[in-house]
Formats: sequence, C-alpha cells, structure tokens
Amino acid sequence: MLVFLLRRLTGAIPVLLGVITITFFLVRLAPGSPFSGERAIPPAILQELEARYKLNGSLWEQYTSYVSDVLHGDLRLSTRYRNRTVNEIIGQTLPISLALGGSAFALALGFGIAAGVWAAVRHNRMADRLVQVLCLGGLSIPSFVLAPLAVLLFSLQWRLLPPGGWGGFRELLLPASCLALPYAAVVARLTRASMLEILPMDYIRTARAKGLPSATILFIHGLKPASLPIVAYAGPLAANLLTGSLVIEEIFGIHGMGSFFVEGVLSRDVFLVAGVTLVYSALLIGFNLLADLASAWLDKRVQLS
Amino acid sequence: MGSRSSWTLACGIFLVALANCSHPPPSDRLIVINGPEPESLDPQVITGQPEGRICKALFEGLTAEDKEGNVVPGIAREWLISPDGRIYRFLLRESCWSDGSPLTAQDFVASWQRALEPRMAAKYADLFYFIENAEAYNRGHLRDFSQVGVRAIDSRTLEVRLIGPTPFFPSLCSQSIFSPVPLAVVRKHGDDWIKPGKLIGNGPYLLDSWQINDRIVLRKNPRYWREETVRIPWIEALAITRASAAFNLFASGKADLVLDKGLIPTFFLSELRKQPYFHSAPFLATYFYRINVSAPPLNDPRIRKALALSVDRERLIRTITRGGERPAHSLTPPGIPGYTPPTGLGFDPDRARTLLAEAGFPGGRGFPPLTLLYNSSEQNEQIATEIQAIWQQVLGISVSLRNQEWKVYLNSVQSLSYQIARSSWVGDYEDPFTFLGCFLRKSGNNNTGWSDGRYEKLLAEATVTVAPKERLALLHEAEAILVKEELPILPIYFYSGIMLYDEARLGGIAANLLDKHPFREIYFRPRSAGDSANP
Repeated sequence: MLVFLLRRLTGAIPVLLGVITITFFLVRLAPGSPFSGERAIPPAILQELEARYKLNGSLWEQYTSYVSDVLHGDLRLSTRYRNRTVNEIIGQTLPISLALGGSAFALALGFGIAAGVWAAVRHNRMADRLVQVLCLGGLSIPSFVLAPLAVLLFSLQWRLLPPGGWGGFRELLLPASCLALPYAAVVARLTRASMLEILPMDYIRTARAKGLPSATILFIHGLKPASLPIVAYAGPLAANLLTGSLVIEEIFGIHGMGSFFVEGVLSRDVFLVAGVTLVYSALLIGFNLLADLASAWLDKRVQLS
Repeated sequence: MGSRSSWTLACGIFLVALANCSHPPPSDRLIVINGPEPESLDPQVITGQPEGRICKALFEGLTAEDKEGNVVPGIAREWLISPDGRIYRFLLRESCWSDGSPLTAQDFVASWQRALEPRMAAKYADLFYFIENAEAYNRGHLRDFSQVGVRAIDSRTLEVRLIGPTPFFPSLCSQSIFSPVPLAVVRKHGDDWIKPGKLIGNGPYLLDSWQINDRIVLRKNPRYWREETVRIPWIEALAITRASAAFNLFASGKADLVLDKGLIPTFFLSELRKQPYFHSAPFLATYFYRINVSAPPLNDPRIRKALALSVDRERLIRTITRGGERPAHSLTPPGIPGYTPPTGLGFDPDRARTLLAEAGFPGGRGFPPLTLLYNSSEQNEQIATEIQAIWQQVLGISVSLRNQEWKVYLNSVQSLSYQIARSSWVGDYEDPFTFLGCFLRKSGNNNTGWSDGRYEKLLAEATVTVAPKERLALLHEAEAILVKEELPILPIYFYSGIMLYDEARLGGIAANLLDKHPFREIYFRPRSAGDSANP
C-alpha cells in the first residue's frame, strides 16, 4: 500500500513537469505578446515589462528560470493582473471552485445513486422509465441552456433564489444543481446498470431466502459491489466538476478559478495559465489516486500494484 | 457553444425577464456592475475603464470631472496659464491623504516622476509627452528628472512647462495616470501597496475590500476635501464579464447600475432600448477599418475612396449595431466643443464605381481579391459579412474574411500583415488631437503605413498655435486630408455609451462624451410618496 502510494506520487512528478513544459511553450509560442494592446507601447517600455516579468532572454532561459521558480513554490506574478501573484489568485479562487465542485459532486452522487437504485428495484416499471427519461434529459440539455432557464424560473419569475453571486447556501443551490445534473444522470445510469447485474445473483437470492431485511440486502450486499464502476467514475467526475465549472461560474457570476484559465490564455498570461493548469493536473492525479484507493477498499480483489 | 438555437432561447428568456424588472428602495450601498476584474488599481499602470472608475474614486488629481464630463477643480483650486499657453501654475488647496498626512505639490512631482520612470513601464505615459522633456525621460534618454518641466515652487504651487500650448492640459490632469500616489506606502509594500488595508488615497472613497473576480467594496473617505458632497457611504463594484449575468443581476434588483457597454446583451437590444432604464448617449469613440496602404492595390487613394463611398453606414447601424450609434464619415466624433469634424465621403455607389474604373478596374474586373481582418466577435463578424457583400455587389470586388483571436489580431495589425483591418479608437480627452495624433508618421498607433507631409505639417503647426479657433481650424484641415482625400482609414460608426439604471431611483448620472460617471456625484433619490412599498 505504502509502496503503491510512493510510486504513484513519484510518478506524478514527471507528469506535472511535462504539463508545465507543454503549457509554457504553447503559450509562449502562440502569436501575440502578453503586453500588446490597442495602444502601441514604445520598445523601451516593452523591454522594461519583459524584464520585470522575466520574459527576456532566450525562450530556453525563460523556461529554465520559470521551472526553478516553480520548484521553489513561486508561480510568479501574473502579467495581466499586474500586482497579483499567481499564488494569490489561485489561493483566493480555488476554494470557491472547490466548494462549488464539491457540492455538485455530492449532489451528483447522492441523487444519481438514489435514482439508479430506485430504477433498478422497479426495473421495467413506471419509476424505471421515469428515471430513464430524466437521465436522457439531464444528459442532453447542455448547461448553458439549463442554467439560464433555471435563472429565469427560480430567480426572475418566482424570485425564490438569487440569480448569481456567492456567499451562502441560497447562492450555491442553483449553480451546484445545474452543474451536477448531467453527471447525476451518468451516475444514475451506471448505478442502475450495475445494480441490475448484481440483483439477480445467487448470493442476493440467498440473502433474501434467509430473511434479511430488504434495505440491508439492497444497500449492504447489493450497492457495495455495485458501486465499483461508480467509484472508478468518481475520480474523473470530481476533476470534471472542478474543471468544467467554467460555464456555470460565468453564468452565475461566481468568482472561481475557471475564468482565469480562459482569460489567461486569451491574454497570453503564461504564468497564470501554467499555474492554473498545474493545479488542475495535480487535482486530476489526486482524485484518480483516491478513486483507486477507494476501489481497493471496496473490493478486496483489486490489487494495488 | 454559442449556437443560434441557444441564442434564440436566451432571447426568449430575456424578453420574459424584461417585464419583471423591479427595484428595491434607496439604500446606503450602491451596487455597480463594473465590467471585467480590474487588472490593477495602481493609477499609473491601469489602462481600462473598469480600473479607471475605481481609481477615480480612490485618487484625485489636480483636476476632476463632474457628471457631465466637464473639467472642474480637483486638488488644484485654480490654475494660471501663461500668455503663450505653455506654462501652467496650479494652486493647490489644503487637502490630505486618507491617513491624515498633508498632500503637497512635491507629492505630485514625485508621483509624476514615478509614472515616467522607464522601469514603471506605464502604458499611458505618452499622455505626459506634452510636458517638456517628459518623453526623453520616459524613454531613458534623459536621467535627470529636474530637467523635466514639472516643479514644486512651494508646497502648494506646482508649475508645469509644456512643449506647446495644450488647451486640453487641464483635462489631461484629471486622468488617472496624473493622480498623486502615496510614495512612502508604495516603497514600503511594493506590488502589494494597492491591497486593502495598505492603500492610502486622496479621493472620495477608500478601498475597503477586494475579492478577486468578485467585488471591490469602497467606503466613503471622511478626509476627502469635499467629503460633505459625497452622498453614498458604500459602493460595491462587481466584476462581471458576461452580459447575461449582468442583466440578470440588474433585472432581479441585485444591482443598481450597469456601467459597461460591453455588459449589455446585444441580441435583444431592440427590445431593451424601449425600456425606461435603458440610457444611451454619444461616446467619444470610433469604429473604423484601417487600410494598409503599403502595397498595391490599396496604395491607390482612388480605390480607398471607392471602398468608402460604397458603404451605406446608416443601414449597418439600423440592422446590426442597434445601440443608438451614429454613422461615421470622419475619424473624430462630433460633440467636441468648438470643433466640427469635416464631412468625409458619404454613400455614393456611382462615384465609387467611377473611381474604381479610373484606377483601372472597371466593374471590379481584374481586381485582386482582398482580405478583411477582424478580431473574433459576433458583431465584428456581422459587420464584416455585410461589408463583404456590399463591396461584391457595388464594386464587384471579392473579399475574403479572416478572423483572429484578439492578441493574434493585434500582432497582425501592428506588423502590417493585413490588407484591411477592423479597428477602433477611444478618445482620451475632449480634443481632436487624441484621434488625429494616431496617424502621424512616428505614432505607434498608425499601423497603416500611411504618412503625408501636409498632414504632419498641419498637426505640427496646430501644436504651437495658441488661439483656440485657429488651432482647431488647422486640425480640421488635417482631418479633411485623412477622411476626404487620402483615406488610410474608413470610418464606419461612432459608438454610444450605454448604461442601465432606474432614473427615478438614482440621480447624479448624466450623459457625457467621455462616458465618465464619477461615483462621488451619484445619489439615491428620496422615494416619492406615490411609490408603492413593494420591493
């Protein structure tokens, strides 16, 4: 177990280094300068700017000095937000994206599993069909349609919830639900399919025959093995919810990390892009590792090697 | 994303929402939708309007603007101008920084020196170039700041020596880059000096908090010199970039004022325009096409004229922009006091065809295909498509469209790797020179490869002419060369400034050419007895 963890963590280092390298060169080689604007800048001022942000010298020198700064934990100053370090921007906005993504994650798993189990138990009956239809709807309505509709109904028409902003539970409810819905649909379908495979098995029949309460059969003997595909999906799901929250963050005016990713690319803010990409990659690696550990814990047949 | 169907759906949603707008009673807190997240709050570094609005609340220069955009005394209570219009003597009032320390003329000298320091790399430093030796200092050719034309005669008198008479100099002094900055704080905290708790200002408001990409909270500065005229104790400036999010907040009463014209959902402008809270006014900015005159066939002015004469601007505005814009036949928008821009080439397809034939391409035969470059945006694309069709129909010229993402587009324009490119320019001060100066040969903003001896001479003459009327006549003559004879540019429309606010509720906001709306003048109107109490 410990060996496995160590191996995975050391394996993550070259991956992250590769991510930084690729991002750095892609942004630096893209046409356009981080300092260009509608107004021309005198060459002397451009030189000063490049020196200030350590973007002078050859591309290789810029790269090596940047990597050495990153290894010391310094993600550097953003070139667009002139007085902010990338560390500061991520420090202020990542918790918000995490809170939004985390709530959506809980909603997606909670509703998805409940709906999936219900559909499997009522296989081929009304409830099953209803869940199937809802899942299809959830999967096929894109968030940029769903979110404005939700705002129209819940905020502008019925005035139940605020149309945007951040702060309390009321502000969180609409964006987290809109973000969670498509993923809840996937989880529900996975759960349903998995449960349908497990429920006809002999040991479930045995459990029923010896008179165990049906809740115990369903949730202990049925759901635990049936949740393996869901756990495998949860790693990428968590990463998706964090990285995919951009559209929702924009529609609801939530100041998470997502918008800086796009803004950074558009304004050629190389350090902001590399910093945000680094954090996203680290999260992706982390969640996948957690998913593997959870699979091993749930199913003793899974070998951590 | 961004497919037609989603837009149609969104339109439907907003039309329903229009009917539902209602607004809460007056409060002690004004919530403003300010546009994108400010890139900085250092008044000498910032370039954009969202930053400018906050900086104007935190810092006040020698002069200030009122709600109508007029230049009014700020920290300078009055100023004396020498007969040749070149020496300004500003008499400062007694005022202090928000920490209570006195604000002196020396503070202004030191702050202006900081702005001009090559290491500051201030992008708007060229606004100082009207001052003697400022350009040489900024470009690093001159090391001794005492030779720059700014000095403090005593703690309350500031003298500025200019290169030539500059009648708009008081207006320049209200720009953020001319603000005083607290140098002791800057030295102590470095890049962090603009953060809440550290920033010291001299404007009507103080920085209370700043949450990245969320909001900036300002609170009234009790030490501001005309503190008693500031009526709203708190201001929250929200950082929102998406027009629909801004509109949702406004429509549901969560925001009082939408200030940025980029934040108005354009796809239902025609409906929005009818609403009482929609306010649009002429804005000192021009949307135009730049023509690269350095290569054939566009090096022939007859062809450039033909291109301009064939475009029906009225129709573009009526069908595409729809925000109250005005057709442009000159570079300088109308409205600058004392200046009527020359009437350039209007819509005359017959003359356009004749000119094209004279240039050797009757009916467009043999004319090489052109490429029209624009930065990716829905409206730029609509306008380009329309103009592409017009040139094909009227002149028989085939044009291909090329759109590039903003930074790539800037690169292409600045390196003259284009034939015709969409452009725009926003005036920095109310004088034609802010537009005409761009097309001087040495200007970094020319980007057309065009220069003209007569144009250079007229502008040079204007910069040394004291009498305002003659000066403006010279500028008028120069602009006529630009828009009637040479046409390195093809003006299309003059922008409008758009705001959303309920006039019955908010006062102290007025239409003005520079689209400046100082927070210190805004107030909540007392509720009249007839109003219902429902929020």
